[in-house]
Amino acid sequence: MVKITSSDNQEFTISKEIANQSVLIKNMLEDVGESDDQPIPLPNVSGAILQKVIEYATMHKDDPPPAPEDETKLKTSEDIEERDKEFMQLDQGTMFEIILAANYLDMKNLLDLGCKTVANMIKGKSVEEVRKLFNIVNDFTPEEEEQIRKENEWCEDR
Amino acid sequence: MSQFALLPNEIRANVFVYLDPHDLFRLRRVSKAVGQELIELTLLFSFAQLNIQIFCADYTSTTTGILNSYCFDNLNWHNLPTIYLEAAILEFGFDSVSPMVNDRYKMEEALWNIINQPVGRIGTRKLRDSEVIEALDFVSKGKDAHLLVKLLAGGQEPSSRLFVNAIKYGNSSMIQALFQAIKTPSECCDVCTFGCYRQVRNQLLALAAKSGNASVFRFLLGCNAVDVSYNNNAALLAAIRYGNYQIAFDILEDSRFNFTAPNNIAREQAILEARAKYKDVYQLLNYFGSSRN
Repeated sequence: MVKITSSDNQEFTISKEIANQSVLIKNMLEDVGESDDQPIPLPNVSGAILQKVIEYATMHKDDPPPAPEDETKLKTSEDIEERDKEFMQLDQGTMFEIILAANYLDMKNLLDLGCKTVANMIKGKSVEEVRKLFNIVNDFTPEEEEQIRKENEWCEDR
Repeated sequence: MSQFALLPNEIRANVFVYLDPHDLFRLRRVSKAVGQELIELTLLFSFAQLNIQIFCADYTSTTTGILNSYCFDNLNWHNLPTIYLEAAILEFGFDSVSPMVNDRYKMEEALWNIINQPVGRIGTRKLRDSEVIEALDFVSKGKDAHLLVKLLAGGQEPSSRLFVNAIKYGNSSMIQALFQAIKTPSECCDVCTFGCYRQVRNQLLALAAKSGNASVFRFLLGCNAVDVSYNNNAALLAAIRYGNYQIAFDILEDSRFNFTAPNNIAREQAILEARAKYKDVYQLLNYFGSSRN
């Protein structure tokens, strides 16, 4: 078993298979050796987010390793397993924190899942809807915005 | 503050790459920061390539892996940056991305329109070997060499690398198109190792003599202002060293070439090399040496 601690000092004990899904933790374990009982500190991830990350890793712990052809095969943003879709049904704040945690912990599958989910949230939305969705302030003047709109009018043509 | 904006750039790029290429331009209006980021991303070849791959994955049969050309119909190639076209050609090949319509490839049509725009949208990225080979393969299939030259040269003078590769692959129609693409042959200087174009022709002549492709060599020999004796008869020496009889014959036959000139320092060298390796070429040299005296 492997012990990890979050930024708010919550300690988690997880199996090695689950821990190894994070390349960061895997490398740390290799560096310190298995005999070390000291928990691995993860100062960039809070306990609540680490809990969710462990939940994801547990869900995927028995996944077979991807076949070589699958690794190179490109997956679209629609290509998400149903259980992962359910897992990502979170408030936006938690979702972005999970993405950041996946990036920090070097968990490619979880990071891809997060990025695809965000891409799917953007798809089909108007510019105004995207601003509203992510709370982005429009800092263009009306003239500037109109000019960019005209320059990219062709986007609407297929 | 937007949490989306707080994501590192590389993660946002990972999100954007899953979007429809058209959306990446539409979303430039979201904010100044997002707009700038999208401008930079869509000018990156690696991003464009991945973006196109993912976009087309939606249109690829999961069972046969065959690409549905509808994905290309669904993009406005006239307005997407040229690197998107290059990425598509590199990724899927010219023929597969460009189904024939009215005896003309759709992609070819789009390329023509882009090239003929008053202000070309030109990428500055240097060509990779695979792209040059792809282009040469395209030309060898009887397609329009001039179109490819314009595209690959990116609105600038074609680089010497294109010439060298065209010679290497023995593609005379490509060479012809490349020469015709030179706008100011007498004054233009290329930044590449060959220096001015006039000199390039002479260098290429020697290269063609070495490669042994007679039709390419004859094309170059027929060019204006070519100096067949350039660099102490480098072309003849190359033809002799590689035993290219026909090319050696063409050089010796050329009225501009004077094998017996008093200061022709390559003559003895050429005769010695030919005698050691190629009897037929040696006899040829002897014939021309004596007949011109």
